[in-house]
Amino acid sequence: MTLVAAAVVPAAPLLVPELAGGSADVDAELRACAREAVTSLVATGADLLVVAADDRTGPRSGTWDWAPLGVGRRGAGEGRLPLALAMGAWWLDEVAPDRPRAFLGVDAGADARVCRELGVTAAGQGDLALLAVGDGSARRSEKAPGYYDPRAEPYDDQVERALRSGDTRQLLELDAPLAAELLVQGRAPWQVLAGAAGGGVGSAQLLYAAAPYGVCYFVATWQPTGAPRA
Amino acid sequence: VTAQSPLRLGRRVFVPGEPVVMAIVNRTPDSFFDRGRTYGLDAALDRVDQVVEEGAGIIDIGGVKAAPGEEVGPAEEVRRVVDLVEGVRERHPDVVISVDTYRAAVGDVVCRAGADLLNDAWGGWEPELAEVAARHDVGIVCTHAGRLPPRTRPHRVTYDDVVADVVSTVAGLADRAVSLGVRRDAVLIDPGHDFGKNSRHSIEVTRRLGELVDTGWPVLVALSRKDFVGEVLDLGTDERLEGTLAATAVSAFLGARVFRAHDVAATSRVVRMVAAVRGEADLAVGRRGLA
Repeated sequence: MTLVAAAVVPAAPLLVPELAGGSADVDAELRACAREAVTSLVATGADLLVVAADDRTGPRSGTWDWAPLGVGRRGAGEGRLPLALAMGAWWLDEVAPDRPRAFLGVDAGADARVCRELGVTAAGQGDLALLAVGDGSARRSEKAPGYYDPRAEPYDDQVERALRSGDTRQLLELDAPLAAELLVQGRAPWQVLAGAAGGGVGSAQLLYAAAPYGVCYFVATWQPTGAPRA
Repeated sequence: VTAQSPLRLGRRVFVPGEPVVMAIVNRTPDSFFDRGRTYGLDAALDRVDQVVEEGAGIIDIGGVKAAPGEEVGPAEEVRRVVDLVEGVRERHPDVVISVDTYRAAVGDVVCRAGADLLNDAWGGWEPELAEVAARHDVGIVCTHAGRLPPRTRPHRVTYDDVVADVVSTVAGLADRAVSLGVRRDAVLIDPGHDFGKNSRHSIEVTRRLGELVDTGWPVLVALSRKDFVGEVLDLGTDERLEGTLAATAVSAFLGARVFRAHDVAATSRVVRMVAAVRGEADLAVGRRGLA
């Protein structure tokens, strides 16, 4: 009854080749890092594979569907997940389409305590592999979706340090209102991760941290203390 | 499907089948394409003379660039645009003067200075702008901007059906404007290409523009050198003319009536050609095989 492994991947739709169109190869490194992280996550063979991303809080069901972005492609099965959860579903379909998975929405405005509690509860339900889908600030440059904000880089730096070192306390200290101002989409799911990993993180690996389009993307993998190595 | 009817703005009446080019004249130092070329009053007036010569029926004057950037307050916006409105009014009494603003306070000032149309490109962000249009008996452009605040960029925007969202939003804004007292024949709708939309959304809106035309409201399209053109072709703003004109031709063929453009001469020729194909414009010269 514990977190077996976790991975952090971006929610950026441009990582889906059929959404990126002719520029799909431009982000090959980021895509490869994310694929590696998801592959190592599913390789742990945990009972439960859970995707956490910002949405209204609660369990969700369905599959990825790109029609709302203007592309008529969708995964197998019924229902349409909201975008960030859909990105998680897509990553799992890329790597392990047959593995059952569950989806956990967490309100983008939920405070750290609520997020942490969601993580604790999820980890209490079985051997859990958690895929946290979200990004750092979308205000890293003048061309960024949210324009430049000087507070964005220090915020992302804190996230980077926490993900690199497996520091759950630092993740739980991330400021929620500031995250909203800085268009940080990952804050709530990362705090769910911190809650799920409450027992401590044995090893952490940061595979990617950069903001190529003014949005900061992170890829990381965590193995909690005592968890079997993949 | 509701039939199109004449559009009355300032001293002009534009009947269905008569395409109108709206020339962009920015009094900004930092707009994405012209980059300050007409920031000075003299340069702006010269450009107005030129675009009127090239066939523009409407001049769209802007004082604040659409993208995020340096904050421009209402007083500064007025300073940038009002003398140009006055100057154009004096030099070209018949041309329709539009001002691209989302601020009601700015709209009020420019209407007093002679503007005929308020181009509310941020989709009714200040609901009072339509009241200003009614009070001054000028027209208004009702735009879909995806409910985004002014001067913001779309970020992972999704729509169940982008065209349905556009139609219901702009028709709602148009009905509201009329209910507030804006003349029905002075209201236009604009799907707001790139505003609150990814490039595929803008392309879908272009492909299905007929659904907007079917509302009966005259459709304005603002396509000029925008990112959706740039992303189809992977070209920068300086190389987007042909892509812009292709989208212009398609929009014209599907029934758009007003075309907001940087490249006025080229746009005028394209929309006249399309009007001929639609059977709405006759030959300027008819000799081939007829002599």
